[in-house]
Amino acid sequence: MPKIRTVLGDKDPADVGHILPHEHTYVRLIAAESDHASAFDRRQAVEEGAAMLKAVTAEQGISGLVDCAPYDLGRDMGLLIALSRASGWDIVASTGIFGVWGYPAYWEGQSGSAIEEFFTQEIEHGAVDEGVKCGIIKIGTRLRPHEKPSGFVSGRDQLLSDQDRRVLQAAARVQGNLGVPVTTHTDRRDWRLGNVGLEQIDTLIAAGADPERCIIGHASHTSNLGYIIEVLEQGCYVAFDTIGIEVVVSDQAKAAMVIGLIGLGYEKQILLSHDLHVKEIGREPETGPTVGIRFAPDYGYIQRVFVQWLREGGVSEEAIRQITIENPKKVLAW
Amino acid sequence: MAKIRTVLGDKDPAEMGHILPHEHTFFHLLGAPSDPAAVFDREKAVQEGAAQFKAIGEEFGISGLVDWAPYDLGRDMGLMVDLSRASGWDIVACTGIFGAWGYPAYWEAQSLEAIEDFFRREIEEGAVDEGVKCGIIKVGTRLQPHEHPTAPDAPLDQLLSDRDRRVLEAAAHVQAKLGTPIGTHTDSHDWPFGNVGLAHIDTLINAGADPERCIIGHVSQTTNVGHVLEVLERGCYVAFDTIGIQTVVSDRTNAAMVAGLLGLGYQDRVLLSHDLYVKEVGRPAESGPVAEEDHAPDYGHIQRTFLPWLREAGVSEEVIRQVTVENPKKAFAW
Repeated sequence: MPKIRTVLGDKDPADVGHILPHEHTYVRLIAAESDHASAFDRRQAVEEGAAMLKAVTAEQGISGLVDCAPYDLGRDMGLLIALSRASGWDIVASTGIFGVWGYPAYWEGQSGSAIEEFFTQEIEHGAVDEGVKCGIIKIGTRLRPHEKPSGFVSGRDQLLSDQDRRVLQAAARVQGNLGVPVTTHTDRRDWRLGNVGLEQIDTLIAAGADPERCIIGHASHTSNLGYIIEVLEQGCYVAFDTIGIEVVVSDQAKAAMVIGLIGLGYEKQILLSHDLHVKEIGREPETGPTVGIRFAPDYGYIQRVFVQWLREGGVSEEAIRQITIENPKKVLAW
Repeated sequence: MAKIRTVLGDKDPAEMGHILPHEHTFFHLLGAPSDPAAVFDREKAVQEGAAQFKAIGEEFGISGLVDWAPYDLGRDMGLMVDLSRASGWDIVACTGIFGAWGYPAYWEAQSLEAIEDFFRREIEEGAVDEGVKCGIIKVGTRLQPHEHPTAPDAPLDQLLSDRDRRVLEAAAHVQAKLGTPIGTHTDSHDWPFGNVGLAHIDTLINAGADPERCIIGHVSQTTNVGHVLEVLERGCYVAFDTIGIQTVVSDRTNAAMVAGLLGLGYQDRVLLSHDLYVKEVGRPAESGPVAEEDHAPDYGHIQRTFLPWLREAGVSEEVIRQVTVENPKKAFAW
């Protein structure tokens, strides 16, 4: 029987409610824990997080999330467990490599088979951190400045570095063995160069992944609807998972895209989420990718604001239920 | 009174013996602690390290080292304290940012003031890790591929990124307040572009550092004696601290350079070390900077192999003692 693997154990999807498919809880950049100023009251952080989550449950009925932070984005299993217990939310933890804001040098130096073994162990036996098992593989890709192709729209095979390709292939092989879903981060800077989402899903499929168990994330960071349809045509899920973050694409533009795609019959392949977090650990950064970025006000924003636009756009309650509740449950079960 | 700050507390330099000025003990790359295969028997690792140290101590009279791994190179204060106790060696730990093999994303995004605060607290209050105090500030720089100058003999301002400059300046500010020595990592990949060592020392001096409290490291990774002389003219120490690593410059070439510089009277400014380590934590890398087999066989390599070449070149015992025993004691006292 398929299960959804949460930080508190495996669950029958029938016992799981409305899960947000791409969020965060506590995040930190690599090495933040070395800073004295990063020390925080863990119990208080859990209490505040649980209060945030419970308020959204009371208002919207949401009861879970996928935390898309693997180890190198500061995943903290102890906090995830405490937060899940205190809030009653189902939380799915990620293995994988994010690698977009600084790469974890150790994993950059390792072979594809070592990376594969790492993902497998975090899923089957649990992370080194608290022995908690992961329920999804998260892979981020981003071209570094010297890797960027010249010109505007690039052909295939230019939008992933060798390192990114190796990690995607490792994830595909682990999925081939275990069936665990794969979710990706496409970088907003790479969408400007071409269809990075398509290159990700093609790489995954070529390495043995089942597109129905793959989520191409951050499709909401491009306004190129043609690209998104090309990705959907591969049979995978596409996540509009930056609702509330309008740095590249406005929420209204995202709603228009989602309405159009549902109209064309893609409602079984669309996911919605906020990419929000409870707390970022450490001092406020002075520079870097998160400076000045505004997120959704809370985890209920999609239900409160975004879904209303879909209704106004003529999307049925059934389709809304499909994309917000049924799709996450289906893709997370393995 | 001047002291040398070891992991077991401050010591009078007069009570210290022969300290290797640039080595490592246990280190790991960023992300290694996430790998289940990186789990190791800490007690056994300390015993093995202590056995190595004691054997070298007996054969060559060496009795300490400066460990140049700051947090982002996997500094592990608990291991260093245990190793110092078990071996009897004086070990100096460093604060700073290495950043040459993957950058710690958190610190990349922080302000100069935050970085300065971090270094100061690791020196004065002790690291978050076990509260052990650091006795030197280590700063590494390395240009990323897109930052490479297009031609050799590049002007100095093209040899450091803004990020590297900021960290060097933070180190200089902390030194101006506390007097703590600074040691740098110049990267073997950067020397072909120009005198990166001179860029280091000029940046440090301009930001308020005292050259007599600065060590420009890895000058043994260039064959350009002219560059090394330019650095020495600033009044700082230069470290031939990769003796035994012959992937870029052979030991014989380094011996010829050192003998030549000693002949010109720089005996109070030259340091010798191996950049060796007891154990790298985690799986051996498939690709990466320097393989284990490319290092010196042990911490006695300079005494056993390198110094006899200097003697053959006519360097006196007095000068050898100055370089190997007196200079480190002077350079690390503050």
